[in-house]
Formats: sequence, structure tokens, C-alpha cells
Amino acid sequence: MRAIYPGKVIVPIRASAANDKKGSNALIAELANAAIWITGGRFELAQNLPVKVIKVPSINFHAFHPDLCYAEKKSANTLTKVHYNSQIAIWAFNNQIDTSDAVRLFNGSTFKALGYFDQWGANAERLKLSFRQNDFSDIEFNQFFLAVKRRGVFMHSVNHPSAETIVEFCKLIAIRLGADQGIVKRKIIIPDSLIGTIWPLYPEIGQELGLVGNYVWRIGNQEIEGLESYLDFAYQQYLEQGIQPSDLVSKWPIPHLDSVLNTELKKR
Amino acid sequence: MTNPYSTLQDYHFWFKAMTAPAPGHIDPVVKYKTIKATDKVSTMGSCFAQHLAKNIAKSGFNYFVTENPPPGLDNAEATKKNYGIFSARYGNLYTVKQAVQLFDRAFGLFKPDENIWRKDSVYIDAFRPQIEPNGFESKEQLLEDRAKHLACVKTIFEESDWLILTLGLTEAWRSKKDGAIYPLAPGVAGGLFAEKDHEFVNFTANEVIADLKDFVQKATSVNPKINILLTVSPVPLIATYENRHVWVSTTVSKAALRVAADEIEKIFDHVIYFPSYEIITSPASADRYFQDDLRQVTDIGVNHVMRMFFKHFMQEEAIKEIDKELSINSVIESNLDGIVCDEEEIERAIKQAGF
Repeated sequence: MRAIYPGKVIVPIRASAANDKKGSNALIAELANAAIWITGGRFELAQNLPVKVIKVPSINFHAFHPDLCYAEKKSANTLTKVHYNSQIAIWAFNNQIDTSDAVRLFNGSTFKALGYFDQWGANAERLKLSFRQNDFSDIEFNQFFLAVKRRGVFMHSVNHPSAETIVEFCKLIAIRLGADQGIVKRKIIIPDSLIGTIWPLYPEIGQELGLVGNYVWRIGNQEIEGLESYLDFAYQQYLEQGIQPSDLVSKWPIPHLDSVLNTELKKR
Repeated sequence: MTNPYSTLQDYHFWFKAMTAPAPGHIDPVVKYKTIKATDKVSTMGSCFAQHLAKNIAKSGFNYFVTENPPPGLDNAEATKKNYGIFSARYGNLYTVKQAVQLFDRAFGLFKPDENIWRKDSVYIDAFRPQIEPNGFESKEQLLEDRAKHLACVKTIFEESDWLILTLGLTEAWRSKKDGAIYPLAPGVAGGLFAEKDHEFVNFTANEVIADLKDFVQKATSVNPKINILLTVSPVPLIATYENRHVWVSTTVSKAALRVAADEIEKIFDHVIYFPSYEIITSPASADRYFQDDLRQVTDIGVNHVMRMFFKHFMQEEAIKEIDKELSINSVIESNLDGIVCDEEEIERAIKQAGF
């Protein structure tokens, strides 16, 4: 938004800042001096303020990264230190599969059986719904979604849009704020602040989507190339966190994961 | 209230069929028929047909190869000599007229006058100039190999359950004497170009339609059970001899071939058009299906074509077998290795001549 409106004062506020009473009050005080509040939640805080509220959806899209999940150490009820995990890696870790064997679980056959190839339609619908719920019309959604879809992989992970995606989204908001439709064609380049963590589009999934994939992870500015390296990294993280096999659970469990991966292991 | 479009399926509508799906999910295949695991499947056509041939050969299909390497020839040497690239060693057949003449030569209906070229000290088969990388040492050796080759071609026509023909070009070089079509201009990979003997030809849509009809009728006359699958190569022309831009010539050429395939599919029940051309050139691919030279097709594009082919033409059981083989390596493995394109010889010849 700063790139679109360079002369305006734009203050970013973390959503979690208003998690407690003190934070909420501070935010209300901030909003009292603001003309516009662009927010994905806590709309009630602006109830008695003259600030104009622009509701925006979160951009979540799992079709490029269906294997990615959050996970927790079950016994401690805490998230893993590195928040992003592979569903397959978790299963392999819990079943004490050697990383060199676990590599073989990452293939087109497994992905197909796990439904990784069939995520596009449902995710596009879900995203459209979240736009609707925030008062964006389907025309506005299409203006955004079709523009980013043309560019290929428009997400770094399930909930981290690329900088170009964020720019397209901000253009929609700008139009809502009265900008001319011509802004859609304006070339706006911003630094990508989310490239510290990039989950790869696996090649087999890329192939299904007509896109080029790879097995290169970027986690905390560290680049991990290749499946076995990633699995070594993930196992090491879990062990360092004192997680024992079977104590690691995905926050987004896949019901038939166990049977699919067991079958796959037996094939070899 | 109803209208004529209200009961049509999703694939009739641009938004549902093109705009909305992921690029790799676009599926323009509407007409298809299952190829049984036991069916003999042959391939011929332009160099894009080699992608189909290569993938069919390693899939669950019964890839019908009639011309096999002689005993003792190792695999690398056999590949160099173009064994297994197509069902027989005919090399690339770019124009439909070439395919018709191949049939006629195999069945003894056409004996072109100029059929052997010299290149330095060796002999070149004018109808498959790249088939022997070092040429033939003698005329006799060439003729013997050709006779064996044409017998294999005959078997393809007589025994194939499916023949996949990929239409590549409309531009060709022709003998003025008897109309023989050469895959490469005389002088490029052998022989000598002479204006009195050779002429350039660019087949019109109507001429391609007539040739394709002739081809289908001839193939069916010797093998009534044959099914013919037509595709159009999405690979643009490497050069045009017409006095116009190569992209304009490409558009005209591909349009003529596409129209011909459409016309012939409407006439014959046993002819199906498979839209690999549309998959590769679709605006949804956003140029990801062409390499940086804007001409060669990328692996990911070929993979899209093959996925749609397997999905619609392969039996379910065979697809399951392919799924078993879907490993990381099989995806990353380059499909572009070993694709032989005669037209590239034009570029090489021009460079060698110092241009």
C-alpha cells in the first residue's frame, strides 16, 4: 500500500497485537487517529470510531503445497520450532523410517493417492468464499485471482503469498479506496519480505498443474536442496526439540495417510 | 427459460474449461477410445511424434516396432541408427504427401526416379537422409537396407491396430519429374539442388485434406481394423522458403494441417484427432510449454500432452501400472533427449556454409 500511496502514512500492525486487553486498547487508540483501517479481523474494535474499515481476507491456498502442515509435539502441546512441516516427513519420522528410505515416499503415485493432485478446485473455491465473506464481489476476486494465477506459483507457502500476489491484492484494496481501475495495469515492484521461507512446489505436483517444480526448501534463510537433505533437516529439528517418534502430530491430519504410505513402503 | 447452450457440458465454455482450471488441468480431449493393452500401436510423423513414440514405448501400450536392429548392435549404436525412434526407420515424415508416398513405396505403387543422393564418398537415402549417420558405403547396401525397411513399413500398415500420425509441415521440396517429396531439400544433407529437377511446394489446406483422405483410405484398404489418431505438431517451422516471416508461415502451415485433421476426422469414424497442438499452444500455458528458443516444447508441456493421452486412451489397469512407476526420477528425466529433427539440419547446413 505504501508503494501505491507513497505520500500517505501507513502503519502496519500485527494481528496478534490485539490479543489481550492492553493490546486492544492500544490498537483502538491508534485507530482513533486513522482514516482507514485495512484488517482481516477484530472489526468490532472500530465499532465506535469514525475510521473507515476495509475488511480483507487472508490469502490461503494449499494447491501448490498440499504436503505442508503445521504440527505439534503432542505431549507438550507446542508447535514445532520450524512451523512448516511435511505430512509425509512427519509420518516417516513417527514410523522411524530412515531418511534414505523416506525419500521414496515422495512420488507421483503417493501424491495422487493422498489427493495432492486434486487441490486446485477446492482451494480456488475456498479463496473465493473468503473474498465474498469480506464483501468482495466475484468480479473483484477474479480480477485478483486470474492475474496471479497467470504468473504460475503465486504462493511461497500455503499462507505466504509472493510479493507480486500481495501487489495485486493491494491494487484491489486501492480500487475499493477510490483508485482508478487503471491501477490494475500499473507495474508496481516491492521487495519480497516473505522469501525467508519458501516451501517448494514438488516436481510431480508441478507437472500436474502445468508448472515447473523442484525440491528446494528455504527455511529461515537457509537453503535445503534435495529431499534427503530436507528429511535430515526435519528429523534433526524434531530430535533437537526432544520430540520422540509418535509424539509428533499434524495439525491438519490426512485420514488415509497411514494406509497410503504403508502401501507405498511395501511396494519397494 | 432455456437456450441452446444451457444443457452443454463444461468443456464448451471458456471460463469453466480454460480460465478457471489450473494450467496443467486443462483437458481438451473430448473424443477418445480406449486402446487395449494388446493393441499394436505405431507412430509416424514429424519430430514431435517422437515424444509420443518415446512415451508410448515406455508406457503400458504395446508399441509396435517392426524394424529392429540386427543382432549384435548395441543399444547406443542402434539408437544412433534410428532404430526404435519410430515404429520403423522412416525418420521424420513432415508432410502428409510424404506419408502417402511412403505407403505407395512400401506397396510397390510408386518408384521415384531420384532416390539416392551422394554426400562426399557415401550414399544417402533421399527419403530418410539422416537414417544412417555416416551414410551407406555402397548403393547396394542402401538398396538392401531400403528393401528391408519398406517391408517393415508394409507390416506396420497391415497389422497396426492404431497408427498415430503427427502432421508437421506443409512446406516441402519436390522432384519435378515424378512428384517425389523429400524430407529435406536436396543439397542440405546430401544430393545436389538443381532448379530444373527440384521445386519448392507449400501444400494448401485443400491439398493436405486430399492427401490425408488418400492416406486414410489406403491404410484402411490394407487393414480394415486400423484406427488412426491424428495430431498436429506444435513445433514451429525452423525456416520458411516462402517470402514471408517464419511466424506467418508457421501459422498458415499449422492452420492448414489443423483444418485437414478436422475435415478428415469428420469423414472417418476410425479417425480421431488428439489435441496435443492445442495443449501446447494454449494461452493457459503462458509460454511455459515452449523453451527459451520459443520453438522446442518443454518437458512439462510434453508431460501434459502425455497425461491427457494416457487418461483418455489407456485402459484403467494400465494407468495403475504407470502410477506405480511415477517416481521422482521419471518426472525429472528429460523427455527431450534423443529427439531427432531433420529440419535442424537446414540450420546446420547454413552455418556450415558460412552464413
